[in-house]
Amino acid sequence: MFDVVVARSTRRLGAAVLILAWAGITSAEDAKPAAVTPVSFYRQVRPVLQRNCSGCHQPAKAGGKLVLTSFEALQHGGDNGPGVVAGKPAESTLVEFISGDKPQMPLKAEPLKKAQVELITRWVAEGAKDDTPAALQDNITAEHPPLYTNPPVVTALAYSPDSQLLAVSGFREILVHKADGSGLVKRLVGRSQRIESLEFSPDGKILAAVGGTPSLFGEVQFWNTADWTERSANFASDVLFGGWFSDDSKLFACGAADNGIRLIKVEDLSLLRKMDPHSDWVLGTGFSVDGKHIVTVGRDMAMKLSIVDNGQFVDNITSITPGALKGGLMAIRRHPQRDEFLTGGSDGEPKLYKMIRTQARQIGDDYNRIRGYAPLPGRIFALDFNGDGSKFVVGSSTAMTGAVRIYNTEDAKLLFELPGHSRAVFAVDFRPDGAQVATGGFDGTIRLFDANTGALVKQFVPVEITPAVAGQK
Amino acid sequence: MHTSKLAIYLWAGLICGWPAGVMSAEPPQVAIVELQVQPTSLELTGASDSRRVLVTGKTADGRYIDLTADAQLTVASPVATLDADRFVAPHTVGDTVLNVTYGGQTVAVPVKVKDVTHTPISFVRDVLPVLTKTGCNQGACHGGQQGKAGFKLSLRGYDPQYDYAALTDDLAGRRFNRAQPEQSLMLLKPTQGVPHEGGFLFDEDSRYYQLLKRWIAEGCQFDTVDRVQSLEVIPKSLLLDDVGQKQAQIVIAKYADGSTRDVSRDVGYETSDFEKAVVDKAGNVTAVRRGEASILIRYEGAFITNVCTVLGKREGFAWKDTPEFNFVDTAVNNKLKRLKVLPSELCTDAEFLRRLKIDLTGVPPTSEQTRAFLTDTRDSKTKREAKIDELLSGPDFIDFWTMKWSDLLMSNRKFITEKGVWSFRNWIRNAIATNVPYDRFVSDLMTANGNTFENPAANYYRISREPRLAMENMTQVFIGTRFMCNQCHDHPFEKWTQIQYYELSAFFAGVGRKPGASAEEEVIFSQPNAQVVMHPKSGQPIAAAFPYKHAGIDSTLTDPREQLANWLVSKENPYFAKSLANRYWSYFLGRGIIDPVDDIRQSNPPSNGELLDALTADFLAHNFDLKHLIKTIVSSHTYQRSIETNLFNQDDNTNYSHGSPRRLGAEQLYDAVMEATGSPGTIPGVPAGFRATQLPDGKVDLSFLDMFGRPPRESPCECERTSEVSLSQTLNLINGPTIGDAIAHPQALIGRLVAEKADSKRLIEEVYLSVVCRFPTPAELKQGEEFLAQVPSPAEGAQDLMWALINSPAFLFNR
Repeated sequence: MFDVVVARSTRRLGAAVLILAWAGITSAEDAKPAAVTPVSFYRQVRPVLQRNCSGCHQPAKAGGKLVLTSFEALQHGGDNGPGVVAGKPAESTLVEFISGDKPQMPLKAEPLKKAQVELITRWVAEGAKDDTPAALQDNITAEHPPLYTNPPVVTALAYSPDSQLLAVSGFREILVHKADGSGLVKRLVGRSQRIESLEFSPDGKILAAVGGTPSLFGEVQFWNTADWTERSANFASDVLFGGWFSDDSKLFACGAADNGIRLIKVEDLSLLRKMDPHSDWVLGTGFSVDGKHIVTVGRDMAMKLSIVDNGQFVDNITSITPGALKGGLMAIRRHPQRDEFLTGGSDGEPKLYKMIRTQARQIGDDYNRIRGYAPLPGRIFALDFNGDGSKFVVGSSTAMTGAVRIYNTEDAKLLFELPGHSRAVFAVDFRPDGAQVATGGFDGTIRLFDANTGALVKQFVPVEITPAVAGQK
Repeated sequence: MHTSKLAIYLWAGLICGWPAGVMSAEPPQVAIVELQVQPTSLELTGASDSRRVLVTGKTADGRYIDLTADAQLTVASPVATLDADRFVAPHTVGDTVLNVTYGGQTVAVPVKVKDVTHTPISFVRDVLPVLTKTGCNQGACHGGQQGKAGFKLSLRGYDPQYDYAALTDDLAGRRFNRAQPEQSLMLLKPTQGVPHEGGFLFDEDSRYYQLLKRWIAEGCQFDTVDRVQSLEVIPKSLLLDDVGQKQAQIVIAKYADGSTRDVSRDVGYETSDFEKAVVDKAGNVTAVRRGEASILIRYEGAFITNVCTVLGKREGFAWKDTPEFNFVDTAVNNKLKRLKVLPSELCTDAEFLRRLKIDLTGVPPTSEQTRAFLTDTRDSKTKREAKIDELLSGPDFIDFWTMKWSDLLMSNRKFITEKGVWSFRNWIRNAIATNVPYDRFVSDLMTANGNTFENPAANYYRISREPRLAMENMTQVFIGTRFMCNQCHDHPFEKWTQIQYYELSAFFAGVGRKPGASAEEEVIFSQPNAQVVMHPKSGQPIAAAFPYKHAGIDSTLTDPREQLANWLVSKENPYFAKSLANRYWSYFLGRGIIDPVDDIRQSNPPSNGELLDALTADFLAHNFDLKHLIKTIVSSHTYQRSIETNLFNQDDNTNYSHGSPRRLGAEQLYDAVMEATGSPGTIPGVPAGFRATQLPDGKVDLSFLDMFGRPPRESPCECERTSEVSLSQTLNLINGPTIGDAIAHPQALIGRLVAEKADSKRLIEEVYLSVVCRFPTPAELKQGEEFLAQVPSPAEGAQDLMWALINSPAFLFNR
C-alpha cells in the first residue's frame, strides 16, 4: 500500500524522471545503450497506471478482478492471470493488454503512448522490481505526529466509561484529552486520515476508532487504554463508519462504503462476518441488549435488523412505504437499557424505534416507531443518550449553520438549545456520568456544556496550531 | 546596466517566471500588411485578473486571419508575465507594454497593473466555474439526477448552496481536508491521486488545482456574491473564409458591481452544428464546411451565442438584383448578400398556385382552378395577389387553420369528450373565420371561465388540468419556450430557473373545476387556491410571479389568470408576437427562422434576426392580424421562389434562397388524393365528402392518416406532426387500397372521362392538371399518347398514368 502523502510530494519528480527516461529510449538506438538506467516502478510505472488504469482497476471496483493500485495487487493479477511475470514481457498480461496497434486497454480511452508502453515493457523485462522506497512509505509517525496549520474538522468524540477522558478525532490521529478539557493526555497516531467514529468498549479496556483514507482503505484501530498500544486491520477499500461494541465487549460492528456491515471479534480483531442488507453506504450500527441482533442505518434511508449469529436479515424497522423516508439516516444510538434505537438523518427529526415488531406488517404502517422529536434544522449527524437513557443530545447541520439540542427521551420535551454552533455539528457525546456533553464539527472547536443547565462550560481547539511555514507542504 | 541591478533583475525573473514571459512562436507563414490586437490596452486589477489578447493579421488581398496562437508575445518589464495559456498575468503594480509581433510587424499594447492583492477565493465565482469547466457537474457525471458514486452536485452548478453542502457537509466533510489541503479528496480525485472513475482531469500545477487548494486552505468558506450578470464575446460574430481556418475568442464576464473578468478559458463552448464549425475547450473555432453554426458560450447560468459563418470559396460570385416584393425580401436578401448566396428565380404560376393553395387551405387546386389561373391573361403578380386574397377569405382556409390550432391546443376527445371536441372546434373555427386578433384569441383562452358548452374556450382547462401542465403548454405554444426543462433544475441552455417554473405555474393554481349538468361538460371557474403549487425544495406554497417583466403590465388586475393574460399577450412581451410570427413563417417556408419553433432560447438564435424582427414588428403594427401576417409572407418573392437552385445557393438550407419541397401532411395528402382522383372520399363516422382536414380530432379511425404522421394531440409540441418518409408509406402509396380504390372509383375523374369518351389527349391533360396541377409538356403528352395507344383499354392506361404521377414527388410534396 502506497502512502498518499509521499505520493504527492514525489510525483512531480517522477514525471521529470519519466520524461528523461523517454528521451533516453528514443535516443537509445543511435546512442550508447549502457546509458539507459533501469526503469523505476515507483517513479515511472506507478504514475502511468495510476493515471490511466486505476479508475477501473481499483479495490472498490476491480474490473476483471484486477487491481492496479499497488505492486502486490498487480503481481497477484486478475481473471487473466498474474499481471506481470518478472523478466518475461511476452507472458505478462499487463504488457499484452496495453500493446499493439489497437490495444485492449485502456477501455474506451486513448491507448497509452508508445513510450509509456515501452517503459512498462522494459520494466518487466528488467525483472519487474518494486523499488518503492521504504523510508518514503510514511512521514507521519508517533515520533513525528502531524502538524496543523488549520484545525481539522471534528468528526468523532467519545468519553471514556469512567468520564475521565474525552477522545477527539484528528488528522491521522486521535487526541485523548482530559474530560474537562484541561489538557492533552495522549496523541494516538495511526494510518487513517479520517476517524469517522470513536467508541470506548463498555469494560473500558479499548478505545476503538473506525475510519480510513477516502478511496484507499478502511481501517479499525483498537487502542489498549492501559498502555495505548495499537492493534489495527483493514476491512475495506474505503473508510468505515459507525463503530459499536456489544454490551459484553466481545463483538464489534461497523458500516462500510461498499454497503456492507462488518462484524469483528474483539479478541483478535478478526472478521467474523460480512453482511449486506443495505443498498447504500452503512453509516451506523448498534447491538441489541443481549447481543443477538444488530441494527444498522445508512444512506439507503432504512434502519435494518439482522441476526448476529448467522447474518440473516430479519426486518426493516423503519417504514418501507415509498415516500415515507426522506434522505439517508446518519446516526443511531441504542437506549442504554432497552432495545430501543434513536436515529436521525437528512430530515432532521430524531426518531425513537423499538427493535422488534410484534404485529404483522400492514402496507403503509410505521409500527415500530415509538415517537419523534421536534426536528432540528438541516441534517442530523450525531446523537447520544445519557447514562440512564432519560435524555439525549443531538447535533445537526444545514451546511451553513449547526444546532445542538438536549431532549427528554420520554416526553420529548426540548430541554436545551446549546448555543454557539455557528457552523455544522458532526459529533456529540453525552458524558456517562450525565453531567456534561461535548460537541464538535466544521469549525474544529470542542465545546463542553453543562447538561443540567445547557450552559457552555469550556471551548477549545483540540490540536496545537503551527503557523504556516513558507514552502512547507 | 550595473551588475548588482542585473543580478536583482535575474533573481526577480527566476522567482516570478519572467523573462520566461517571452514566448516563441511558429515562424510566420502568411504575409500580412497590417497587424491588429484586441483589446488595445489591458488593465489588471487583483492577483487573479489575467487577460488574453486577440491578434489578427490583414493580408494583401484584404482577408483577416487569426494570429492569436502564432504571434510572438513579449512583456516589456516584470510588472506582468505571460502564463502557460499566453494570458497576461499581473505581477507588481505599475505600467508596462505587451509587444505583439508577427511577420516583422509589432503592435504595443499598454498594460496597467492596478492591484496585485489576493482576494479570498469565492465559492460562487471561482470554485463552481472550475467544477463546470472540468465537467464534474455535468449530467453524465456528478451532476446527474442520482449523482455518481454517492457524490451528487447540482447540474452545471445552478444551486451553489447544494454544491457547497455536497463538498463540505456530506459525510461530515469527507471531501475536503483543511488540515492538509492537498490531502483533500476533491483534489486527489481529479488528479487521479486516488482512483477516480471519472479519470484524470487536471494536475497539481494547473490553475484549477491551485485555486481549489487555496479555497480549502482558506477554510472552505461560502459567500453570497452575485453571479455573473452578462457575457461579452470578442469578436462578435465570426466570418471564416476558408475551410480549416481558425479563430480564437475572448469572453468577458460582467458583474453587477461593474467589475469584469476574462473568462475565455473557463467558459464552456459548444457548436450548434459540428459539420459547419467546431470549437475546442479553449474557444478556438475551426471552420469545417461552408455554412453557419452558432457557438454557444456558457458560464455559470449566463449564455451567449456567437454566430460563425464559414464562407468558403465563392469564386465567380456576383450579386444579381432580384425583385423585392416587400420588406421580407429585403431582410432575406441582406443576409444572402453577406453570405454570397444567389436567390433562385420566381416559381411558375402553376407551381405558385399549387404551393399557395396547399399552404392556405390544405388541398391542391382542382383542374378547373388550375386551368382558369393559367389562362388568366392578367400579369403574373396581379393575379397571384388576387388569388392570395381569394383563398384567404374562402371556407377551406377556415377548415385548414382550425385543424392547425386544434392540434396546438390539443383538442382531443380523450380529454374533453367527443361533444367537447366539436364545440371547441367550432369555437376555434369562429375565431379563424372572423380573424380574431391573436392577442384576444389567446387572452380568451387564458381567462376562460364557465360551462364548457357555453364557453368552449374553457376546454383549455379541461385539457390542462394541473397548474404545472397548464403552464408548460402555455409557454410552449404562446411564447415558444420549453419551460418543462427547468422543472427539476435550472434550464441548462437558458436563463430560466427552477423557481420560475413554479412561480409561473402558480398563476394557474386558482382554476376551479366542477361537473356540469351532463357528464360531457365541466364548469371552469376562478377559485383561490383550488390547487396549490409547492416550492420544490421548501415544500411551502409558492406565490405567482412572472419570469421576466416588461412595460405595459396592468397592476390593477387581481385575478391571477387576468394578470397572466395581460402579461402574456402584451405588445411589450418580447416572446409572444415573435414566437407566433416565427411559427407561421415555418408553416410556409418549411423551417422556422428560429428552429424548432417552440424551442426559443438564447442558445438557439434566429438564422436571420433582421427578418424575424421585421416580421414581428409588422405583426404588432397590424395589431396581431393573423391574416395580414400570412398575406405578408406569401406575397413575398422569398415565398414564391422556385425550388430550382443555382451554383450559389444549392447548399443553402437555412436562408430561404430557394423553395424547399415539403412532404404533404397526413390530412393534406389524403385530401389531395381524393381531389386529384375525383373520388368522393368516405371517412367513417362523418358525413360523405368530409375532408380529412375537417375532422374534429385524431380519434376518427383512418390508419392512412396515422401512417403519414397525424399528430395524436397529446402534447403541444410542433414535433408531434411528423413529415418523415418511411418504407411502409411508400408501399402503401404503391399498393395500398386508399390510392388504388380512389383511382378506380367509378364516379372518379377517369371513370367520368371514359364515360364521356374523352380522347387520349384530354385524358392525359386532365390527369396532369388534377394530379400535378399543370398542363403536360409536349413531350409528356406525346409519351402519354404513345402509352395509351399500347394498352388495351384507355381507362386502365389513364389509371396507370395517374397512379404513376401520384407516386411522384411532384404530387407527394408541396414544391
